[in-house]
Amino acid sequence: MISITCLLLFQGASAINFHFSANSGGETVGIVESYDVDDSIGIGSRASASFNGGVSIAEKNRLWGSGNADINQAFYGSGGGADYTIYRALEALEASKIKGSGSSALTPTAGKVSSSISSRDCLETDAWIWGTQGGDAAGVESYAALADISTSQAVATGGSVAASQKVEAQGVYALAYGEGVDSEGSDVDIYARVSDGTLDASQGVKAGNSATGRQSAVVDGYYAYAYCTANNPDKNYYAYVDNYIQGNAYFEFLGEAAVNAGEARAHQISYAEGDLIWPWAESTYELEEKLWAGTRSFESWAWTNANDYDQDIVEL
Amino acid sequence: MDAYRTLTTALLLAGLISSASAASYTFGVYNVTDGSSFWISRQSANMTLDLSGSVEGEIAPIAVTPAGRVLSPYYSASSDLDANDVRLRERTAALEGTYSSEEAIYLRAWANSAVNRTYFKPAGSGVWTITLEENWPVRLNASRTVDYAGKMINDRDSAGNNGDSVGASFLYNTELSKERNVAMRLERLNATVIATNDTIISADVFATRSTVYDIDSHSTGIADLRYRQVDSRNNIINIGEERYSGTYDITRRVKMELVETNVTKKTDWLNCCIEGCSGLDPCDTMPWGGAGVFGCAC
Repeated sequence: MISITCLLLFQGASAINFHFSANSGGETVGIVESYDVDDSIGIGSRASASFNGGVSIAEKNRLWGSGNADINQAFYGSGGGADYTIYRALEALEASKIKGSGSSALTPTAGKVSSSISSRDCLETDAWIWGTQGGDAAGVESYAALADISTSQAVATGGSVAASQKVEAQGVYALAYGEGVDSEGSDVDIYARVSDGTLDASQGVKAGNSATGRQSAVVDGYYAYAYCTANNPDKNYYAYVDNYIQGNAYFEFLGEAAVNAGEARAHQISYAEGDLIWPWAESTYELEEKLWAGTRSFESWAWTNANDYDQDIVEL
Repeated sequence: MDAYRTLTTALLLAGLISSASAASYTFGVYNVTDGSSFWISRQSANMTLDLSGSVEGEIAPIAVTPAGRVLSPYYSASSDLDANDVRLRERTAALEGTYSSEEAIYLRAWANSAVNRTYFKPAGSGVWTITLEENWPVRLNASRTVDYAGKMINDRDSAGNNGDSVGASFLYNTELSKERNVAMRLERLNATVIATNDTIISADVFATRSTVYDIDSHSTGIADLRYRQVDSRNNIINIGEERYSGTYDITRRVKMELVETNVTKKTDWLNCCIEGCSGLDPCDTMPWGGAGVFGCAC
C-alpha cells in the first residue's frame, strides 16, 4: 500500500518508476523510486535483498552528468511493529555538472538512508531527505539557486527519527533547513541562509519523545540569516533566537533548540560582522531585539514553560 | 463374506513437509508516459518434502449401515505442488475396478540467497538497463505407477517449470497401466528490462531450468499427451499435442532446458540497437572476446 501511494505521488509527465520489495515472515522492506532525468545524466543503482536472519535490503546508487533531474525515492519497512518511511528527493535544474551518490540499509523496523550531491552552476538544486516513524518525523533540506552546492544528508529511523546534513554552497542564494516533529506535534526548526555569498552549515534534528535541533553555520555574503526555533502548539510554548545581517554580512552561528511536553527552549551564540546586525530572541509573550553595526559577539536565549517565559540577548 | 468389498489400501507415508520458511519479493518497472510496465513477484521457501506411498485394492461398493445403505464405489486423488513456479499437478478418479499405484515425491527448495536488482543509464543515453538476479533453486522429482482395470478411470498429470509444461491425460480408460517419472530443476532466474523514460522496450525473463518427463503406458480409452516450451519473453517456441483413442502402448521422453548464458554483446550499449542492429557491421554484433577487446580486428 505504501509503495502504490508513493508511486502515484511521484508520477510526473515523463518518468520511469522502479519498485523493489522483499518479504519474509510477514515483515517487509522496499524501495519505490521515480526518475525523470535528462539523457545527459547517468544513473546507476544496485540493491540486494537478503533473507537470512530476517529480511533486509542494502542499496547503493549514484548519478553524474549535467542538465535536469527530478528524482524521488521512498524507502520503507513494515510488519515488525515499528513501520517507517524515508523519502529522498533531488530536483536539479540546468546543472552544468552534477554528481551524487547514496546508500540505504533497510530492515522492517529501522532504516538508514544517506546521500551526497554536488551541483555546479545550477539554476536550482533542491535536495531533501525526510523520515517518519510512529508519528515522529525529521528531515533536512538543502537548496541553492544560481549557485554551486555540495550537500551530504542522512536520515535514520529506529526508536526515534534523526536527520542531519552538511552543506557548502556559494552563489546568489542558498539555504539549509531542518525540521523535527514529535508524535505530540511539537516541532523544532533550524535554518541558515545566504544571499550573494557562501554558506557552510552543519545541522541535525531528532524527533522521539521530544524534538531537538542544532546547527553550526558560517555565512559570508551580502545577506545572512540563521535561526533556531522550538514550538509546542498544544501548550503555546515558543522559543526563537536568530541572527540577521544585511550588508557585508558575515557570521559564525552556533545554535540549538529543544521542545517537549514541559518547555520550549532556544539558544545561540554568534560572532557577527555587517552593516546591519539585527538579532531577535523571542518567547511566547515577549520579544527582545538589538540593532547593531560593525562587529559583535553575542549570545541569546529564549524559553517558555508552564511557570516562566523569558528571552535575553547579551553582548559578549 | 460381505458381498461388497471395500478398497483395501496399504499406504506408506514416509515423510511430509519438514520445514518451510517463506520468502518473497516483487520487482517492477513502470513508465508514466505510456503506462507500460513489467512486474515480477516470486515466492519460495527453504522447504523439503519427501513422500512415498503405495495403494493396492479393489474399488467396490460397501455397505455402511445395518439397513444396507451402500456407498458408491470410487477412488479419487489429487495433488498440487508448487515451489517457485515449479509445479506438479495430479488428478485421478476411478470407478469400480482393481487399482494399484505407487508414488514417490522428492522436493527441495531454497530461498536463502540474496535477490539482487540493478539499473543503469549511461550519461548521454536515454536507455535504462534494469536487471534482476535470483538464486532460489528447486529440485522436484516425482515418480508414479498406476495399474487399473475396471469400469473407467480418468488420470491426468501436468508438470510445469516456469512457463514450460508437459503432461498426459488418460480419459475414459477401462485399462490403464503407466509408469511416469518427472525430474525438474530450477537453478536461478535472471530478468533484464530495457526501457526509456517513456516506454519499456523489452523484457526478458530467463529462468534457468530443465524438465524431464518420462512415461510408459498401456491404455484403453483416450490418451492425450502434450508439451509446451516458452522462451525468455514467454513466447511459445515448442508445442505438441497428441490424442490417441483406442488401445495403445506409448513410450515418451521429453526433456526441456533453458539456460541463461549472459553473453554480453558489443551492441548492448548502443542506443541504435535497441530496435534492431540490421545496419551494423557484423563485426559489431559478435560477442565480446579478448581479441575483440584488445585487438584491432574482429
